[in-house]
Amino acid sequence: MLITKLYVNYFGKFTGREIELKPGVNLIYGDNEAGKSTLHTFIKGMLFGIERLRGRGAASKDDIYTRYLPWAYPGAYGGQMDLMLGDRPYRLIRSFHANDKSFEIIDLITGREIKLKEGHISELIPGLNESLYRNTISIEQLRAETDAELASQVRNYITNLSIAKSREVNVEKAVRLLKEKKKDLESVPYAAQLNLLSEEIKAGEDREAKIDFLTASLKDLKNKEKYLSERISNYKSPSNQQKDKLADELPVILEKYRIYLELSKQYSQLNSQVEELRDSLIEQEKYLEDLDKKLEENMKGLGSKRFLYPALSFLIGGLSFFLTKSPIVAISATVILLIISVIILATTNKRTTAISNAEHIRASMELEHGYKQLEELSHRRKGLEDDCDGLHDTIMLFMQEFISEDELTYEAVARLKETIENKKREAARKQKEYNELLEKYRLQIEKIGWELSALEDNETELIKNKEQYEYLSQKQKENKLELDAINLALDTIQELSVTIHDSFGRQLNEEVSKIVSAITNHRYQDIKIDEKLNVKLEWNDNYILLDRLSAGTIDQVYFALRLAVSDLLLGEEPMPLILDDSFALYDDSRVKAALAKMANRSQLILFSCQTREKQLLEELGLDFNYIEL
Amino acid sequence: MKFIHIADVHLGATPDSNMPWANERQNEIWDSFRNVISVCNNEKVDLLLIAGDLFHKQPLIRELKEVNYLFSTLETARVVLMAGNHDYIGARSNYVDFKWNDRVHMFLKDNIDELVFPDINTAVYGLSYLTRDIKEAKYDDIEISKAGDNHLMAEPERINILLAHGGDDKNIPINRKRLLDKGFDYIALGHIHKPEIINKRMAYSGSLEPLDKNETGPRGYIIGEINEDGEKTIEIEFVSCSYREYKSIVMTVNQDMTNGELIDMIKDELHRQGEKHIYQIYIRGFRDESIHFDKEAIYPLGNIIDLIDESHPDYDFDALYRENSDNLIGMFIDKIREAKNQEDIINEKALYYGIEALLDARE
Repeated sequence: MLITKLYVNYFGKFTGREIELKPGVNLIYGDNEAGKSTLHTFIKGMLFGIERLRGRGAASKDDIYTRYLPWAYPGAYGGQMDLMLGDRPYRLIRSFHANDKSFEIIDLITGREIKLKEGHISELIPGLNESLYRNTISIEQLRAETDAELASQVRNYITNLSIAKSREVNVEKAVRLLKEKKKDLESVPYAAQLNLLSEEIKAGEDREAKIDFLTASLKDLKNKEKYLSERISNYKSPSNQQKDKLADELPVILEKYRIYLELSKQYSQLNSQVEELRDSLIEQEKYLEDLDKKLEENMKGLGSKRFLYPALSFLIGGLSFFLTKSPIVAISATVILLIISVIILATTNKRTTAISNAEHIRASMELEHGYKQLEELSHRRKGLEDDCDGLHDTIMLFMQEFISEDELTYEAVARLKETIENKKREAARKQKEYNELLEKYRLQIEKIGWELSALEDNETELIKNKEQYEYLSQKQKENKLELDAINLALDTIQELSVTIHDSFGRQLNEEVSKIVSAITNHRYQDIKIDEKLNVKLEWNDNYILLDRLSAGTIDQVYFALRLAVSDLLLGEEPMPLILDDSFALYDDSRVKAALAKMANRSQLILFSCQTREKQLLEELGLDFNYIEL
Repeated sequence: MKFIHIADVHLGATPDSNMPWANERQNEIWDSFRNVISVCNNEKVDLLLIAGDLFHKQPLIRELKEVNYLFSTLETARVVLMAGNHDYIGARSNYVDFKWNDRVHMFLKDNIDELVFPDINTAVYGLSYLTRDIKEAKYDDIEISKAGDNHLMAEPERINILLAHGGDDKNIPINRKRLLDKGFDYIALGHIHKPEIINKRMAYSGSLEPLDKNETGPRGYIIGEINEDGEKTIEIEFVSCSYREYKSIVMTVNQDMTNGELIDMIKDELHRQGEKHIYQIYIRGFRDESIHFDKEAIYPLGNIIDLIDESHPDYDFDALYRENSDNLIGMFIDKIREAKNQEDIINEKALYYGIEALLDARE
């Protein structure tokens, strides 16, 4: 692009001023306040327009719109500018007035207006925008007062240069915005929540298993309880109860046994009495028989005695004769004895018969009485026997309910007693055991009941957790998608900006090095701008940081950067270079070197309030278009 | 033989438990089930087939009693039911000892069993879930043949019905084609909540009521009739009967749309589609770069369970690219569009995220 002519119709102090510019060096000279900055602003305004600031900014000293509003005819605020793009001439026509803003581009060959969609110059000159223009094409007067400030300006400048390809995008801000979004998305702790949930689900499932187990145990316990209760109540069933009752009769049976023994004893006593009696009766009978016999015999025996006694009397008489030799004695004795015998015989016979008869009667009665007694005793014995038998049978019947025993013996009874007592003891023990067990079961059942009721909501909770897990997983997936997208955007932007910086940086180093080398008469030949935007200059095999150098040198590096960047960024279409008192800090030799370096550019527009540039240009023998304001 | 086929009633479920309509939903699940019982009476059906998950979780005794009572009000229908993966017959299941009334027949084993109803010349085959998950494809190998080793002696002249629950990896995977070839006159499927008539002879009735916001569309039961005159023929029909539906609607916005306008648009749409339904609303399209839609103002407009703003700022990427071909914005667009290794959706989102940030960072 070449700027060929300025028509400053109504702009600041200018009215109807036309300035022709040529390819190569144009030097616009003017004293302070002559209008150099106005022209400078005019060119910029023609390219990009001038916006009126609103609110606070309006009418302040930064408000360019107000500053250059023409005093006489504000409504005519505007102008024209002719350009050459390649071989094609165009005219830019602008009205700046806020109420009547317009921008037209006329193709000067066809006379047609170029249709602009958004009214931006970049539609005609791709890539051209205000910040690029400000940073490269137009180099205004330096504002830096100190070296340090200048260095930081340079650094800022490089920052902007490195992203100049992003036009007006602040990469760091874009990255920050994305990182904020990312942080927002990452702030929901899905993973932690999901972890927690899955732990809860696991615990819930374990609890479910526990519920299953408890329920099974409960069922089992309830069965056991039922079985036991049945056994206990079975034990109390009629048949068992009968047996129990029977067993309870043991004392009665024992008493019966005692009575039985007693009666048995009585019986045997009675029995012997009866036997005795019977024996004595037999004897008595015999006696009676004898008596009868005797009586009979007595009747017979009386005859014999009738002879015996006289015989005896004769015998004794004989004897007494023999002894006394007296027949008288003997006869008297015999007679006396005979008389006695007759008397004895007579009385004895009588008496013996009487005695015998009484005895017989007595013995008979006694016998009769004995028989009666025997009958009575036998009767009593029979009674006892029956009683004993009854008791025996009862006891045996009872006994056989418990033990098998054929005889009623003391041992048998003892065994029965022991058996029943054992049985009772056993039953009591069992009963106690069962009751204890039952109590134990009931306690366990109650305990499990509690545990189960505490776990009642578990399944609902589990299902809810599972649903929540699904929901969060889905959310996490969605979130991850967003994060992936943000990361992709972030990575891409950072990657691109590095790429831009790298490729740009390399070229920039080369270009800046060339320019600085020329300006400084090869004092500094190698300049490095690293990714941290530190500018280092090689000198005597050492790299010196930029801010260690003099203000002049810093300014020159800064200037070189601008030139280099301009060439790099707008390389395809040669651009004019507009310098506004840029050499204030340069010594003559460096100004000369800079001018020499720039002389081969397609168009150089130099604003200056000093005559130094004119002299130096003339010294260098360069053609230049001199315009004095 | 006339029948009604339902599944996945999920009695006791509490959908959307943290939403204002949660209680109503819980009751509507029961109401819907009651309705089916009265439909059985009105239609004088012979068989009510319940293909699992009648209950959302292990049924309580009182719930079983309630259901048993409802079954007892059936005038013509016999009930055949099975336990599914939700109400599976585990150690503590109350199904085991429950005494159903005479109309009700339940499969209690985990292998195929047979129930024969001579008066309607019908046999129903099925099993129950005894555990939560069954990964074995239990239905794939059943054989219903007159001769054969199987104890199941299906008679071709009888109506043979299979009651089955499953169809995904964790819950008895089902090979549909294979199952269809087994020769059943009807296969009543459950587990998948979306109704699907796979074939006249095989269908998922779907859940009676939708139970989750993802279960959009109508829900109901299948009514069918098998005619035995000569060759057996079958007609089935899905009948939508749910109290509500979950609906997913898309509101398309444009650059001129404001918050107020969107609210009115949503109001109209909810009114048009029915205010009782539960909505998932997607906002799509291109909005003005500077507008952000106010979700808090939209939620109270109806039963809105989800509001997803997928609208994009109205960027013309082609124009942006043309204007910025040589700078970071252009390079970004170019690079993202070239990135083929990522999923399209991520690329697209990245494009929006990046451009939004880059444009916001313009100075």
